[in-house]
Amino acid sequence: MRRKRGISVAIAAVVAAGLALVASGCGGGGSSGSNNSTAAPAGKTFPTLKVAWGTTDYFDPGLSYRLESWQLFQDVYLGLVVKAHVSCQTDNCTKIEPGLATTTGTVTDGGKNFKFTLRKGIKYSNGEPVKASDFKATIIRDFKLNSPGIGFFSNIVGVDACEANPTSCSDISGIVTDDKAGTVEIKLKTPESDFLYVLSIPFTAVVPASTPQKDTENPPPAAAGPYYITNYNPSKSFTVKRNPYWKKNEIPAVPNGNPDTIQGTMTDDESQSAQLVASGQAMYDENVLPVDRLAFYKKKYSDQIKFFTTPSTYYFFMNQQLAPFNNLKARQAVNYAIDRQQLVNLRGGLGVPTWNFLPPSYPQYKKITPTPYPYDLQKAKQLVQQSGTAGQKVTIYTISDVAVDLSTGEYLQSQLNKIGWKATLKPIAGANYFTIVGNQSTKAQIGFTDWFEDYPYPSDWFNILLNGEHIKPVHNNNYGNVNIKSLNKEIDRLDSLPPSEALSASTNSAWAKVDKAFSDNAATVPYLNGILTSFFSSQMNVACDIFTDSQDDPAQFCLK
Amino acid sequence: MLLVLLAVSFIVYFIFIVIPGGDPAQRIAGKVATQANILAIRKKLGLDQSFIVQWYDLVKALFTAKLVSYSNQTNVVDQIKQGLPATFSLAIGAGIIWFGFGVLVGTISAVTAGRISDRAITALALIGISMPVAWLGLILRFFLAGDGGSGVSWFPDGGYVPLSANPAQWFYHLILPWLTLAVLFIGFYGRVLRSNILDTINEDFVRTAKAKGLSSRRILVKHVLRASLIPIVTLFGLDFASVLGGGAIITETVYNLHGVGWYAAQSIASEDLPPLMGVTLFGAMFIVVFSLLVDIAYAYLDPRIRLS
Amino acid sequence: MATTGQEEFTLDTAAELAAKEGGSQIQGKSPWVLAGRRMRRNYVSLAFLGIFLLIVISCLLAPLYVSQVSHIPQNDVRTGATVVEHGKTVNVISQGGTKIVNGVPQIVFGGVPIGAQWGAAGGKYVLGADELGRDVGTRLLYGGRNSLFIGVTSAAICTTLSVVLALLAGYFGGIVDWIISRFFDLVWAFPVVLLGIALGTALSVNGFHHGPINVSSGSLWIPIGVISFVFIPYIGRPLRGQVLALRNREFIEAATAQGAGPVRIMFSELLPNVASSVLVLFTLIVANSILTEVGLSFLGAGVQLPNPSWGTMIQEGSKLLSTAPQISLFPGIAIALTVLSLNVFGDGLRDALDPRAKIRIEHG
Repeated sequence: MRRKRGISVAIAAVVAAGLALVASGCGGGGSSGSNNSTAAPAGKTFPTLKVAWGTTDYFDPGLSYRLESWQLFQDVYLGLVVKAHVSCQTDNCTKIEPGLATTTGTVTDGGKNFKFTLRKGIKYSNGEPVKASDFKATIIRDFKLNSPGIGFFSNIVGVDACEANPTSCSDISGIVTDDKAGTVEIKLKTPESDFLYVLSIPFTAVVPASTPQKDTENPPPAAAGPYYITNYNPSKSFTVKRNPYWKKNEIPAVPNGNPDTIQGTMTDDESQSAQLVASGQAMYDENVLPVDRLAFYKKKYSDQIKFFTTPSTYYFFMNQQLAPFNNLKARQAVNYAIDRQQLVNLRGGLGVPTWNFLPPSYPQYKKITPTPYPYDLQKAKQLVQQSGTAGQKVTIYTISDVAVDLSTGEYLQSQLNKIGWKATLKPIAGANYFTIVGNQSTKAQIGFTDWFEDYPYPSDWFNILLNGEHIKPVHNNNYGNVNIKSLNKEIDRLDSLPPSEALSASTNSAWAKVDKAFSDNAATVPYLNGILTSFFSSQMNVACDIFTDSQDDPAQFCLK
Repeated sequence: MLLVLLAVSFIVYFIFIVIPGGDPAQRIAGKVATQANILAIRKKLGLDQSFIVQWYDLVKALFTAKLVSYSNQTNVVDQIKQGLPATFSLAIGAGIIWFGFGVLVGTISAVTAGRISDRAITALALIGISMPVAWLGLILRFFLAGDGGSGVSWFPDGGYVPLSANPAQWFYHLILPWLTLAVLFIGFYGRVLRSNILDTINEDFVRTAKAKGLSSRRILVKHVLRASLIPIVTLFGLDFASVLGGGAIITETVYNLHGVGWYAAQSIASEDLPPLMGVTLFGAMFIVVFSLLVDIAYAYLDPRIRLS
Repeated sequence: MATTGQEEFTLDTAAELAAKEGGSQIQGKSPWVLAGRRMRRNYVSLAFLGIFLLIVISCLLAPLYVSQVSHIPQNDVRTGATVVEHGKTVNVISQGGTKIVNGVPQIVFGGVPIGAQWGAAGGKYVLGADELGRDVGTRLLYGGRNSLFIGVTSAAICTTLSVVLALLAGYFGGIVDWIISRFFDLVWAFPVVLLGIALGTALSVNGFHHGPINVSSGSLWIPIGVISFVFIPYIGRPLRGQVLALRNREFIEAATAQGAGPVRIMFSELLPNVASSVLVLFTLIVANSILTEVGLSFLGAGVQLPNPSWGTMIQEGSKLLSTAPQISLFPGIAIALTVLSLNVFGDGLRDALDPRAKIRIEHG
């Protein structure tokens, strides 16, 4: 997933370095936290939470692919399994917990068969009971909607017909449901280590089978979670209320929530959004604070602002199929020529310099030491000379309507010019940027990109972004056309491990080796992991803020 | 008139056909889309049809209020309707300010021509029309509304509050946008009116009136001002129409007023053809209609035309 | 009315001057000579012409400023650099960063460019730095070159095109007039800013490559083309009216009788008679074009980075107004001053040549 263009908001899973090791040590286990967080004392509830929120694409869980929606959806739309609603600072927020199903499923057939049993008596916000067949209907609905999420389902048995013709999808033989017994069985073509994570994202969140098979947003589909969206006025406002049919404490991993109603005012204007909170008209600012007022706000409202690192990596891609970047030395030169600290400065300090592709929050992360490409302009110049590409023309792609991305592009341009190429800048509107650079006919040589996880597992990074087998003529996500046979194979192997081995120590270190190998190949220029801000009004008790894998959980906010 | 609108729609369509790589089907399909997925969307949107057919479909959909945007499939007509309160509030408020002050300033300047007040007004008016709107807006918003840096926070930092929700806040939120938009026009109208009045004074009918012994004040108000206002009304009709139709894109963007102009800016940024088509036609419609109204007003105001 | 008691109207400056010249002096002099005489007496106008020329010359001397004063080229990025200010070494961009303490990031804010030095750091950063450590003073001069070039060139193209169209429409009348007039109506009906941005954005993606015309996407000719196109009816319409009125005058009939062809009549008979209006409109369109460039650049459809223009500088600086106001402030002042001087001069010119020329403006 990418952050929305225009403002930087991120889905997040931050595991403190120490905790990450603990988590990896016990195979992603640890039964910590989840029960405490759900038992919100009755005294914490309050009538209305007013929030300033970024705009988003859709409020239909089958269609939305934006962080702004997913953050809200964590309290609204539930899948068979859910991401733990616990803090990423003090707990393992990457953990998958039972959601509408009683357990996280029984895996058989070497990781190819998942079986779930639904909890009894759960109802949607419209009063209909949650049925096993609704899950299948939800997946079919995704196809009918041409959902951006259908790419995650390609490993399900019998999905081929739907993939070939999504809008006339009628059945998927690999999904077998039994409404009486309340069971859902999913058969996969090959084992898939991250499949449980796929079942936790909003595209697989169960909606009633009666939901219209088209974009449904006013109001959005009925929800099985503790809240439901009663009203949505695109780009302007939304209202979220308690699901009248929610049974308290029914699902331990999902908190009942404190506010009775959440009223959102939507805007992309960071400074307006911040002022709404500063003046007390809103209680929480979902947008990032404007970069040039960070210091001012931090000084004035110090206790009301929190910072969170996000599982994101900002990097430059370099097209390995085109000169000069088909040359290893040329790619290394770019890596040496980028002073990561300066790119952090461009974000006002909101970033952590990185040389790894995988963000540090992952249990699979292992910091590459010594720093592989320390800033060294002389060395970069030499490498360009040695590569024999000096003087060549290089076109840099970047996003035109986000000030920081544009400055980042200008910075890259100046560095490339300094080390011996003739660089020009090609800014493109954010809305079309990835479509254009992801089209092979564009022949984009080098450019800006970033990645925010869909779910916390490395295959969401390496398999989608750097696996040479997934290079496509259009809509390519591997912008650099990185295609290293041995690494492709290794990614495939790790991706098709049974879920039981997904978080084992040996798997984790294998992923870390993949990370290191891409760095050795200078496949990309990773430069920073993003940081975002949470700004609360003075009425709010900031201690209640739980920064989950889907950002601040509004259901758990509380007053002072 | 309808022909002009159709031609306008065709031009918008043509401009955005020039953009390569902006295939909306690919954008809607999302990043993990399959080729079949993209083809299906293309078919659904009619993008596989010929140029003319696509254009016809688009215009038809617009006039039957069925047009939806490529980027998020919202109904274009609905979105424009939702932008109307903000845009109309901005336009009407600013229009009253700039017309009122423009006439006042122009008249004062003309009747005191050559004196200090005239010189001062002329200088201010010239400065007013010389400032870029985007810059003026940014500076006003930052220094008078932006909490941080300047330390002054007299006005809300952008945004729009519906009149029905809170009239006081509505007014409070619109003060800066009104001023920003009006400054340019006040200066301009004032200057045009000044020179018109000075021209009119030399015309025969004014001399006749003077000869009849009417007081200067009466001549000014009843005859000179009336005749001099004609070109101003023409200008006002067109400018006002343009702002009503969402033409104040920069002001709406700077102050984050979610009006029609803001919607246009958003659609341009995402190269989203259907909303652009809708907004442009909406704007053009206002200009065409107001041109007509201006002609009527012209006939009413100008004694020379009425006589003939 | 705030001016009660005002009994006598005075005339405006130009008319006063004309009256002073008296009837006898005027006879036998060409209107251009008379205008020149009036112009010479309008000191205010001349002073502002001087200011405008001064701005133009300063911008043209930008390379000299780099080599003699700032020693920082226009696109030179110096993010990590330091300068010596009053003997102290300071960062051009304040250095920020993040430490993770117990899983919570501790932020040191950074990225604030150095402010205006006014000579405290030698010739460097006289007007401060921008977010990439580039010299605002240098970029202001180079940006002025681009803005002025766009303003003057697009006004010239626009004026030429509209004069030709107006002459054609006015001279031939009939179907030609109808077609050209409808074309004016069409462009007129378009909201200018919207059309400009739509065109600018569409073209800035991949440029314009049709037939013999090849314009790359970052080219200055894109905003020039856009601006000169959208303002055509603003000159074309009033001129067409003037030409139409002249068309039936005796001297045209005389020329036709002498066997002059249409081209000759249009350009040697009709054109000189509308030339004064054209000149006045041209000055005002230059001012308008400069302002329009700001609007286009502000919405990302104007001059493409990293090349500066006053508009793009304002846009770039808009995100850093509280920490580095210099980036937006100075180009704004430069534009206001340039446009002001053009307007005052244009006014003087109009008073001297053609007191009735009016133009509609639209920047919203």
